[in-house]
Amino acid sequence: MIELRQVSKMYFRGKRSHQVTVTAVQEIDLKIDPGEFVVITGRSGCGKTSLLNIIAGLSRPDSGQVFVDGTDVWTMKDEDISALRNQKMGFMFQVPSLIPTLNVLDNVVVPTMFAPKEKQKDAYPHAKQALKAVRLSHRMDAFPRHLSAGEEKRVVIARAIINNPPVLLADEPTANLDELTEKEVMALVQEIHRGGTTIILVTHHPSLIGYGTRHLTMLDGKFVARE
Amino acid sequence: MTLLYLVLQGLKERQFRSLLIVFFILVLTGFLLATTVILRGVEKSLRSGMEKLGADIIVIPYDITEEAQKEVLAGRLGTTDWMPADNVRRISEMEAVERVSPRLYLGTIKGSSYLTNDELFVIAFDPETDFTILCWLKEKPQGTLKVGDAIGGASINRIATSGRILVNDYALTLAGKLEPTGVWYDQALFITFETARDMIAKGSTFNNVSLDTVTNITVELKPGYDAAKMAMEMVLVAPGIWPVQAPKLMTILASQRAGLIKSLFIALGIIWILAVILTGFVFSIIVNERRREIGMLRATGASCNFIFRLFLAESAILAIGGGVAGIILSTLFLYFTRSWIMSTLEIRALLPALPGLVAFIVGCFLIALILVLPALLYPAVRASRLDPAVAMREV
Repeated sequence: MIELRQVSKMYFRGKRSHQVTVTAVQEIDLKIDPGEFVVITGRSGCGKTSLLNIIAGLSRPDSGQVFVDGTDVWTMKDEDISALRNQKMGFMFQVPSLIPTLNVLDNVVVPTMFAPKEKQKDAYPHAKQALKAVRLSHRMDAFPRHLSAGEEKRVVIARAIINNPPVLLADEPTANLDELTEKEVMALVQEIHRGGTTIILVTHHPSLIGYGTRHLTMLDGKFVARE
Repeated sequence: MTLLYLVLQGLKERQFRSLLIVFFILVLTGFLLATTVILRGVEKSLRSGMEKLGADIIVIPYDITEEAQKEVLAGRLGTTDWMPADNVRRISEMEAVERVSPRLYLGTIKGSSYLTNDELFVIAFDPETDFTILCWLKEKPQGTLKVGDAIGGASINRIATSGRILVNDYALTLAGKLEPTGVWYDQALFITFETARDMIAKGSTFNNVSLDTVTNITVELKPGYDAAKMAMEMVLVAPGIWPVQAPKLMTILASQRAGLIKSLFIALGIIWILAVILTGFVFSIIVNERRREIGMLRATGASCNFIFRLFLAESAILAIGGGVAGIILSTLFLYFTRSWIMSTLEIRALLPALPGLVAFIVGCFLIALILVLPALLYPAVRASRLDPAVAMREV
């Protein structure tokens, strides 16, 4: 379903005169089958988020190919890649990612704006269902600034699943959460996985390894261990 | 949810910045409209004067003070200098001259109740030879002007034709009214030399004005004669005069307003530059602060095109809002201060008729939009080209 072939990504840091090249992802090969729960771990700066962004079609690799359902993502036009993200992937970002000017319900509805017309019709009922699934029905009218960190993560999960994507990409989904909230969030992610969604989760937190069906460890842009 | 809803929610929740941008565009549009309308009024007034004053040459005394020269040329007639009436005969005898007509400034009545402006000029003229005053009459009076009759300028609007006007305790009959001219004619009361003589005989005093003098002489040349050359010859025929050619007169009038026009243009330029820079700056800040939002939208399926349209729609709403507010405020400003502007600039008409005003408003609105377009487009293009992964990371 998702396949990476010899994918590399470099970044340039510093001013032009003293620019340093950082290799974030180095010639990675990876195949992820439908229904898998892949946990990628590694220290900060090892290239986990870069890899996730490449898988998501958010960041163009410098070399190599990314296939989603057999199609080379980076041969597609921007509109098609955007549609692919919208229909096939849900995102949980490391940083707060709700639109501050929209309330919780509207935030959850956002991905349906880019969905086909027939999905847009039932956007709000679906968003309410998604919020019910993450147990936040009572906070529909609240704005992001009024939410706790745990509530915000749950809204992000609701937003990620509203289009029923087959893949959920989670970047440090439990960052800045207390132990109890972490367990709540991961329970929701597990529930989504049980529903047949492929999960790709990157974290530096070893406690999340147990949730996955496969564990990969990254170091300096490469996989150093595969379990 | 629609793009418009997303935009409106954004504007509602970021009121201060939204209002700041609206204000910049409001100032630009408002100033653009006000400047354009004022410049058009000045230009129209000058053109009207040039087209209808009729005289090829206007002769005034040479030895009047510089200040008085300016006043005469500006049409304010505030001079107390005169020249011998014999100059009229001397000039009329020149071969190149088709006709001449003298005028005599008798005085200014301050605080007159017959017109909106507070100064009324009393001028003696010769209806027999006149070719620059009576042609402005709205309706020809019945018969010739009798002793005691007067012709009033367009600003004498508080009395109807045939009404009585008291000047220095002398009752004049308003025999006719002139069309608006845009020059001092509007504030003048024209009487014949016979009437002036009768007034003086009956005790009306005008600063000891002598009826053997004139203030200026309007001259029309025969076709084919060069006005500049004839003006020089006139000085030889009637020493002590200053013949001013009509186009030159209008040039002098125009140059007196040129300073103001230049200032308006400079101010407009500065306001435009400031509005563009500040609008662009504020919008760039908004884009920078919303990098994460842009990244999130891209991740959930928004294309570059959608992000561009999102920011463009936001810019367009602010620009249209600012533009409309600027137009409304500017129109109200022009409407309520029109009398002051007209008297300051010595123009008669300021606001054009409704179709013209609508055309001005639409034109200024579009020009203002085009002027701020670079400031609004640049951030929208930048936002649409933002790498979503980088956008999510950097904030």
